[in-house]
Amino acid sequence: MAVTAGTTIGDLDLAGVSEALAARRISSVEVTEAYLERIARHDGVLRAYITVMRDDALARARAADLEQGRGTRRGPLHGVPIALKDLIAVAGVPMTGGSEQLTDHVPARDAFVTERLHAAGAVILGKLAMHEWAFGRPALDGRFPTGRNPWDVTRAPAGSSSGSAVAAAAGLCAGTLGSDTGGSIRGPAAMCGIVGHKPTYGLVSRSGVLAMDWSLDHVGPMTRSVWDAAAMLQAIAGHDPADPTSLRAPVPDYLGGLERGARGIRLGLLRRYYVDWPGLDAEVKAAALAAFDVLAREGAAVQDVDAPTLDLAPAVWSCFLAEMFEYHREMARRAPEKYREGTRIRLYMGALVSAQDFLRAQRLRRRLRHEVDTLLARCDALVFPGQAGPAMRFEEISSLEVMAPSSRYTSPWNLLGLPAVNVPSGFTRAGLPVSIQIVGRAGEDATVLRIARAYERVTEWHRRRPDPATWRLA
Amino acid sequence: MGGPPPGAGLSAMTPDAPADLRARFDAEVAAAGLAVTGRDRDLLFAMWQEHLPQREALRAAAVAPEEEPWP
Repeated sequence: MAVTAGTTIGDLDLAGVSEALAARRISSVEVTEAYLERIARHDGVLRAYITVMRDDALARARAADLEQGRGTRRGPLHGVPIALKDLIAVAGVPMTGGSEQLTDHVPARDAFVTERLHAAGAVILGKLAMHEWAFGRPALDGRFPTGRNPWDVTRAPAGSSSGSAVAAAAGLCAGTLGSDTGGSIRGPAAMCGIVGHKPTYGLVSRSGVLAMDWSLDHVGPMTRSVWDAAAMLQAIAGHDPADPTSLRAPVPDYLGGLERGARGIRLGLLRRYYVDWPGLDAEVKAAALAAFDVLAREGAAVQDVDAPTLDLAPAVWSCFLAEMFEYHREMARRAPEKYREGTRIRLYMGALVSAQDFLRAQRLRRRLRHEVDTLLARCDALVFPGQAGPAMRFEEISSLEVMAPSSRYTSPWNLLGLPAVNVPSGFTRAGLPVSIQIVGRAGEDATVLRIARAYERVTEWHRRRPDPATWRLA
Repeated sequence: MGGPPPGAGLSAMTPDAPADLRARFDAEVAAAGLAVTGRDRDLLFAMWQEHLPQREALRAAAVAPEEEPWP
């Protein structure tokens, strides 16, 4: 979205900010101050931020302006204010994980992705709210509330990257990073009407990022457009020797092929498991089917496909709570009272996963991988609705379930480590965003982004903005 | 063949009766070495019960011997 007369900082996507900076229509200091002012005005209600890094952000913005003044522009993120989920380390800045367990934790080193963003010239505005330890539930109380949905502040933004979704959707920064273990990027992106990309497992380093489940954790962008997500992915992707699961493959150009369109693309629609599921909201379903028709009109071939083992995927995923418990074992023994009640109980569930069940889950995970690989041998990507239903009211959300039934839309793709992107596909009659999801082959993040862009460029959903006048509490 | 012996009572005929479930839960908590008491234990029991169908589905899945666990 380009800067025009009457445009405010809250209207712009990352591309718009980047373009304005590159053309010197605005300085990085000016755009940073504009976001800081917007945060000060609105975040008392939205609660997207845990820490605002005002002084550091302005210092980096001044440095970015000076560098550009000398003729050096590092790339599309140069001078662009972004923000990070508060489980991604920034040296010298508190990192809480949304938990009382970490109130005094100040990392000495940047996470790999933070280093990459700094190297790309980005300005980090602050650290964003999240569900406790990336597996808690929405909360309005306590020291770390998890944020309000800017499309309806009586509803949750979903999580766990709740603040990342709120900040991007509400224009409290130009783009964000979140993390996704069972849907924590894609779920809140869907609920807040933005793009959320879970990259291929290992494409983006996890070093310096708090873990939930080592083997399912992914770090990725949450932004207002597909181009924005591709630009952020370009900056953070790449091998990191400090992460033992980091891929060594060369990083492709994610922006170069974005406009290639959908012509000739073969899409597999997982109709039985996703579209025909009785729990799917009728409006989400209608919007998704209309979106697949749009992709067909753009030249994609859409055919129904199925992977029977998807039925067992949520049960398989739940066995990975054992990893979570192992990570937390000592903290849970030492100070169990420092977890919220629902978080603590879910944590204990991880201790009740037996070795036999964990191995059974691994065997079924491998079977699912084989089934999906077979589908992706004849399809370029899989598509389905991006969520079970629109954003829920806070009081409708259970804090005492292992995982919500709606997680079937996201968690299987963490098990397989495949690239998955949610892109806005409409709004309900009540004005709440809905989305579709596109999943591709491992390493083919560029393909899922290209398909998402092919849909986005012929629709207008990503241009809608929530109305700040509604960001008031009764 | 099959069924409980005469006079064994309802609990023997329905292995998922509440008392049996609680005993099974208590045994799992003990085996895991979890020291959870009071309200936390009751909430964990409720969550464990709610999750039981998923776990039973996992255990009931037919898996061929050649299906190995490696990712």
